[in-house]
Amino acid sequence: MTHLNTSLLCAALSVALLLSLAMSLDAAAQTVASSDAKESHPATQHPVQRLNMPKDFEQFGVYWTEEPGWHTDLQLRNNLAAQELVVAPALRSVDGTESKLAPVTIQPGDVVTVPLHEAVMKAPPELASPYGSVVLRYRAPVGGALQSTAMIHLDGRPIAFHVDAYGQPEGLVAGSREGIWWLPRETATDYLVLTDTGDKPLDANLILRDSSGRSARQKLTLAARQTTRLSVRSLLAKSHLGGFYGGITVEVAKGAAYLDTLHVIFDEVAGSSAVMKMFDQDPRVTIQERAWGGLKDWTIRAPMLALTHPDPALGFPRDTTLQPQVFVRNTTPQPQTAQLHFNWRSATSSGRTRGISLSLKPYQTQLVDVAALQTQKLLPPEAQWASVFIGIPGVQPDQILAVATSYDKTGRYGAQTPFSDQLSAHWEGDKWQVDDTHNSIITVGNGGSKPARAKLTLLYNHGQDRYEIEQLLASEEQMWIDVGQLARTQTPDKKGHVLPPGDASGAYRLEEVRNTGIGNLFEGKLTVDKTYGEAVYGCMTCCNPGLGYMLFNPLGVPVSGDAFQGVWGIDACTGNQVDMTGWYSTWGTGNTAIATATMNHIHGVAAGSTNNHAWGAISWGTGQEQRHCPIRDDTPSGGTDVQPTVTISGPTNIPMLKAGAQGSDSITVTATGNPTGGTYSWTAVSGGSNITILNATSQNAILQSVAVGTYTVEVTYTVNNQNGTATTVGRVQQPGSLGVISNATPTFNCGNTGLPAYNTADRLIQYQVLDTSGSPIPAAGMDASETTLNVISNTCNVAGPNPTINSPTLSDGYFQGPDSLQLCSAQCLPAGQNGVPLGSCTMKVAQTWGVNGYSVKSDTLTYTCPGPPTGAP
Amino acid sequence: MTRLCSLLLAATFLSCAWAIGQGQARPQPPPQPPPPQYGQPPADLANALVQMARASHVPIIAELVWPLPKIPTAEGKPLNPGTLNELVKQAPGYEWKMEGKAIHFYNKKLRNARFNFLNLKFPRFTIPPDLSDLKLWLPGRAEGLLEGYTGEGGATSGFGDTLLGKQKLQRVTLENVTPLEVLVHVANESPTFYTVLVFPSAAPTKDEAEKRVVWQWGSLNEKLQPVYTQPPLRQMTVDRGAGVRPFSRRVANIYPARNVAVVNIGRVTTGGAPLLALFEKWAATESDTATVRVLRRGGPH
Repeated sequence: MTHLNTSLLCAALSVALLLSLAMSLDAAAQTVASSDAKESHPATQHPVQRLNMPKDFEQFGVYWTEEPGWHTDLQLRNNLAAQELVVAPALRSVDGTESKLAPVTIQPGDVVTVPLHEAVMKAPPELASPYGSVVLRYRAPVGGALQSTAMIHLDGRPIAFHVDAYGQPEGLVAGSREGIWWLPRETATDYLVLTDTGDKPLDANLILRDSSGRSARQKLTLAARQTTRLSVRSLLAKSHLGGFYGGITVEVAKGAAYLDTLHVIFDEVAGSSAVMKMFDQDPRVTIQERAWGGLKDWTIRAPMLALTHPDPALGFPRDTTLQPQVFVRNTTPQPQTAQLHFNWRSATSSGRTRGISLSLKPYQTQLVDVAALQTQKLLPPEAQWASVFIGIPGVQPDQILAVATSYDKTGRYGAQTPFSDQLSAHWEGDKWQVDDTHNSIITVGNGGSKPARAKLTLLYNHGQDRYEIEQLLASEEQMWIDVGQLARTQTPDKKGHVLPPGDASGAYRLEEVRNTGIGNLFEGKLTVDKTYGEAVYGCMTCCNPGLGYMLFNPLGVPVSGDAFQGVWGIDACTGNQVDMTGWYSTWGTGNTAIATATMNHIHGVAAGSTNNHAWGAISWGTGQEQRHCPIRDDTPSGGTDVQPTVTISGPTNIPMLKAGAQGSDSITVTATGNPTGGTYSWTAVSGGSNITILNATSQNAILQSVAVGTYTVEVTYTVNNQNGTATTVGRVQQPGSLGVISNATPTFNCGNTGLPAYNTADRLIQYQVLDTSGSPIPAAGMDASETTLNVISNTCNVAGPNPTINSPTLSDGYFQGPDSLQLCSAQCLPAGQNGVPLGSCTMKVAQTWGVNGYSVKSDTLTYTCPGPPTGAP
Repeated sequence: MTRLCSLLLAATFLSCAWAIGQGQARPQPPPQPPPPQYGQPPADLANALVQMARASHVPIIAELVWPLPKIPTAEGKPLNPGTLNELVKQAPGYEWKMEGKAIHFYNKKLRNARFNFLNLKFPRFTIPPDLSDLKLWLPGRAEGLLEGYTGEGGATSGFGDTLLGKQKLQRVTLENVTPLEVLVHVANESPTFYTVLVFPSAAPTKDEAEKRVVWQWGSLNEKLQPVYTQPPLRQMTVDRGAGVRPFSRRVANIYPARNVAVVNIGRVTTGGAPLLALFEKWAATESDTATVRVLRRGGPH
């Protein structure tokens, strides 16, 4: 009777996001991609980072034994997604004396088995007894990094049971361990093991009850770290209680968190064993903390009860007939009515029974004979499996408990399925195993009221490879996975992976895809040992983040703008970052005059600071560490800085101006802030040596060229102590040449100049200023002048051209118009047919264009009568 | 002896003139304002006139002298007698008058300067088809008058103006008119433009008038644009004459000896002629040709 997963608490966690968000912290700091958020924006701070600091943790296994014939193996699973885990086991003898074993290193996602027999042989001889408890110490970012189980078996017999290790539940002071005892045959031996995992003595009351609720009580004192192994059969004999089943209560008024218990029975003659799972009962816990799946009543489930005619996959002899039964115990002093129903499954069909009402007197324990229900055809006789659902209105958690067993008449063959109330969106499992003598059967069900998509991942090859099965499950629907069959038939998963055909084992993981709140899935697993015909159940542990933290703190929001806040946490098992944003249903801000919230969508109203906060009921923690994943209110909050916005407009290319020359060597950039009324401050964030900023505290700044190169200028706009910033990137360029945009040669009638008409061809060249690298300088106001315009020779008897002086360029760096080269001279007359000049003359002119004092183009222009002028462009 | 005296006389004259040009007889050039920052309209007389003309849509012909009087921005200010008189108060040495629909605003001394080519005469001037062509052709022809080019035609380099090109003009031929009269004629026919000439001094040398006059044009229909009018630096080399003038380039760094006063110094003998020719070349470029003509007894004045 392990503590198993009864106490594993809920995790309402988005499974899909869990994997996708297993990213590095740095990467996560950049964006949010929450389920509700539709935008991303850069983070100013990442509060999750501090949660990842490694800490020391301990887990305690209530029992180990290396008595003659008995052996114990520790199964240690590293739940961490991305880092190895070093576990230091230590064995405690019954008196608490501790003996440290060699540390064990486990790769991420892997399971390591540590045979205690070998370890004990190597250990120092401090052990005072061949049994006791075990403590596992490790350092990890999260407490649920380790999932540990002690597998206890009797050599050569089909007798085995497993004991899960847990941390010490925080805050549990007064409470009890509750269970059901069962002594099916006179030859059966039982152990009731009690361990004080703490460093202080514990005082406890042990109360045994028969099936009707009559009780016998005795006081117990456990020394620090002590383990006591009792026999219920012996205690019953002393207490004059009768029957073959009843209730066990171990009450602790102070220090209940340090008490762990185990009740197992085994029959060496029959070759059978059973674990009678015990439960924590914490009087502080209310049904609201355990209302996973939207359920209102206390509901417990056992997912895989083997029925009278067992599934051949269990490997029992063909004619094996089981006697499935369910013990239900009322721990309260009031009568209660439980409602039972079964979801059954045969080789070819499945269905659900009608409800069965079960009246429980105060403290009474009842046995439900499921085999009889099959005989009565309440359950189909051919049904091989059933999930048992028990709902009890009006009670608090763990006040009604149940244990299911299914063994043949001799007790030789059979299986168990543990009851649990836990639903979760994320589970981590211990070990599946498939080889010549072992097989694992896993079931996953939807315990919620709405459909849920389940993804089961089988890890193998030391956690490096994965086999994934995904299925949409209706309410209470289950999927069944015969892992051995998948391996034998080499059935590919959705990604084409197949399980190794030979011996294989590994851990496994269950996730609810796209879950954004409290989860809905439950699970069960049986590992069949064909050697002895024994089926041992295994457990998964629920995994959830602890508290949620605001992703952005403070969150920067522009005035009249929006930003999305996110909530992140660290998964208590894998250490992965988990987006919890969708788990929070109510959002708000501290001052709606500054910012408002619509869910996680924060809107900036006015410049200033306030907070933003969220409320949600979340699944909390890990079952491995706390035994539960309870539902708790969480109210993360963070700062909100509503910042003014500012934009920059204006040109970006700044021309150089030669010393002493005239022209523009600056540009004016304009910042526009929202809201108005703030102050401006301009600074160069790069390329500061290339420019000078003038009017650096005004709305319009002048950027003046100093040296060729790029620059980045930032303006900070401040309103109510809140800053908004914007940057502009540009280049400082030195005029170096002229680019030719167009070069036309239209006909011109020289009659327009007063001469007798004749035609000549002009040349119109549109220039654009280029820099010394040949790139355009799109800047207005560069001074374009003809710095040289010398007539070299002239036979035309007209004056040379008049120079252009002080002509500013346009904003695209173009000259104000095409350079118009034309000649009209009386020397070209007379005009012939079609206005062709019959005379001739030539004028040669040296032309140099300068821009901002830099010579950019020199040509020798040749004007002739017919034109067009040559020598340029 | 006579030849020797003549040679010495000319040499002495040249050296004196050069020395004067270096700073004795010649006054120091006025302090130059820093080059304007392009982008913002300079707060000067040229821009004030253009701003007012633009505001009132009244054509203006301005003959200004560098450096320009500082005038605060006149953007939006109307152009009328009152504002013009106020402007004249801030710009000593300037006057204005109405020329039909146009305003003629000028520096009084420049108006009468010998090498103000706006005063020289075209025997004939045919008005081109539009204002853009006028902008292209008139400056070359007007300044060509300094070299004695009086005929029609010419050569151009530079920019037309799209807006001015939309303003069509009547093709008429004016006779015996000055460039100023041409401008006044056109401004009255098409009162849609401004033109501003900025001379480097109120009494420019011929060379200055040829090379260093900034002549800006614009449409009154365009968006108000700053006008940049600072005359170019001396190193600018513009020769609009008939041929290469290497001497001109060699002496390009000599400040113009525009105030050299040379009176009758006697007859130049035949032997002094080469030196005088050299001097003539310098004087023609940098000084008042009239002084040379005094030397050339009997030469045209």
